[in-house]
Amino acid sequence: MKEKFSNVYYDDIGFLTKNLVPGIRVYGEKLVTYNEEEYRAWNPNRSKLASALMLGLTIIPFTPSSKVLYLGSATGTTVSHISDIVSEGMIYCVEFSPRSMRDFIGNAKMRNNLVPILADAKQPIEYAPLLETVDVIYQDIAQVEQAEIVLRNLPFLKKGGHIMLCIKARSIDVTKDPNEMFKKEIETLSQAVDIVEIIDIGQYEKDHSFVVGIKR
Amino acid sequence: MILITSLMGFALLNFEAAVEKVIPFEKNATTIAEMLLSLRQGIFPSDLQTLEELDINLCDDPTIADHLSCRQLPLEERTTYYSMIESQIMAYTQTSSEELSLLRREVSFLLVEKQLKVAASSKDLSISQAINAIDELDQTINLFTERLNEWYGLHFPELEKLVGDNVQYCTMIAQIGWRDDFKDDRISAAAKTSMGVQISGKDMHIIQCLAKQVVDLGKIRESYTSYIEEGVSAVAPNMTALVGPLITARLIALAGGLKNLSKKPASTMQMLGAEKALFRHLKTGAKPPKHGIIFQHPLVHNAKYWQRGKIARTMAAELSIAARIDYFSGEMMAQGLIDKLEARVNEIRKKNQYPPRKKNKGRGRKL
Repeated sequence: MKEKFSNVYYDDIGFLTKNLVPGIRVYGEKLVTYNEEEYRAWNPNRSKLASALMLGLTIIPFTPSSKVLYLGSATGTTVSHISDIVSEGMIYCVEFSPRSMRDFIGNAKMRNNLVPILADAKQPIEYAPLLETVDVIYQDIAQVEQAEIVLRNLPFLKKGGHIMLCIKARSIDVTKDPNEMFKKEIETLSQAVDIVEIIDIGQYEKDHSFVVGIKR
Repeated sequence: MILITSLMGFALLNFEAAVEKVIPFEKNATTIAEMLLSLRQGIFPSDLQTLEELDINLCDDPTIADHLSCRQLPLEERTTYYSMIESQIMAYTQTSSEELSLLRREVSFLLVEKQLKVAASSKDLSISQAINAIDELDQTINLFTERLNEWYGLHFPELEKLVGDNVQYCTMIAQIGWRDDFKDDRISAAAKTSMGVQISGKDMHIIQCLAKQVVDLGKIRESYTSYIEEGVSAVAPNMTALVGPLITARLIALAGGLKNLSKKPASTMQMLGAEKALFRHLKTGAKPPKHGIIFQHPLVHNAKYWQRGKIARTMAAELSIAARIDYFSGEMMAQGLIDKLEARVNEIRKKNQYPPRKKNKGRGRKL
């Protein structure tokens, strides 16, 4: 087992993260013990960040002490792995659906580095008092104005901080060509962000693209 | 002055961005969460009245800004100010950074739990669950009845054709069982000439067990229907008066609550439940659907095919008005809507009495 990024491991079964809460599975993933430490297999079919990693993503901006704003945490599959990575940091998880949040807070209670926020990511001023300046913004909200939502939340990100965005072309317009939609969203982002990496994860999630950028 | 909300208290800044005053909060996560919740809901907490006496020009919280009728501070500026003054508020309220991050976590959890309670207590969610449960009950009843058809059919295959209703069929199997015990003339006549074989008492008992389950499921379905009728006429009286309880409940379930439904345009209301056809239309250019779930209303499905789309459109328009009245005021004003709908439907029928002429496809007009 090799450490490919800080706290992100690679083995012949794929990527893994060190389990912050040993013995507990979050979404039925495989647990692997190596040198008396427990690791959770990171399923690329369940988590779009894992699929981007499988397809050669070279930038993982998380360090063990990173502070992250995660927009669209859903039930917390990807969040749980980032929570393993930023073991000393903090993740602010914004989710709009009460139903998803209900499933999420059960997991969140067990992990000391998660802060759940039930709010609309389009109205960041509502949750501003709960937040601090963050190092990374991760966004995975299948919405029409995906890039716009990132821009609205950008004030929380420190200068030079990273954004990670998973674009779902079919949520923007089902009738248009996905590549055009990716281009449009990336253009919107470029107003305030330098794009450093784009990975097409269509192999795992149809018509999805993963984008990494740095705030100017 | 500029007012900035933090978890430790309100900070008041002058226009040189220097802290003039801090109004600290009680260091208690529950109190802070309750205050934040009320601000999110747009209610100005009464214990914040001290703010009214201050000269505040700019404020970060939308509810407070609204209440004091001052301008709202954009997020960009709010975060800049806050990062400059955070350490000063911490010093003033004697909060260490460990305490602050613990407070953040505690307040967030409490706030989310309170919000979830508010969300779960709305009556329309329960109605959505009930209508979905009815659909599943119907599926189950059909599935079990099919099995009984095969199974009981070994003994008395003719019964199925004689009884129309699934639940009634199962009630007969459960209560009477043997074909020779039927008292009804028509059925006993059929029983005498039945093609079925004699089965053992043990077999009959096993079959009746399943039939009893279907009868019970039928009873549950009935009680759910009356629960929905009751609930829906309380939650959405105008929509119920317009299209009946079951269609109203289905529309609420499809939109994810009355609140969401009331925000949808009439055109969406018309298409709810026809998503598959709608997206097929958008993607491939196939014919667009004329109606979603409102097709179940007799006015729509009994209409002639060339009038159906127009009637569906009118009905959706009146429904969207009814949904808004129901969500925002709850007053009973349905009679006006019903009259309008009827008048418009009559007008449509009058203006479109005859089917449109079929377009001559392909060859074009002969000269």
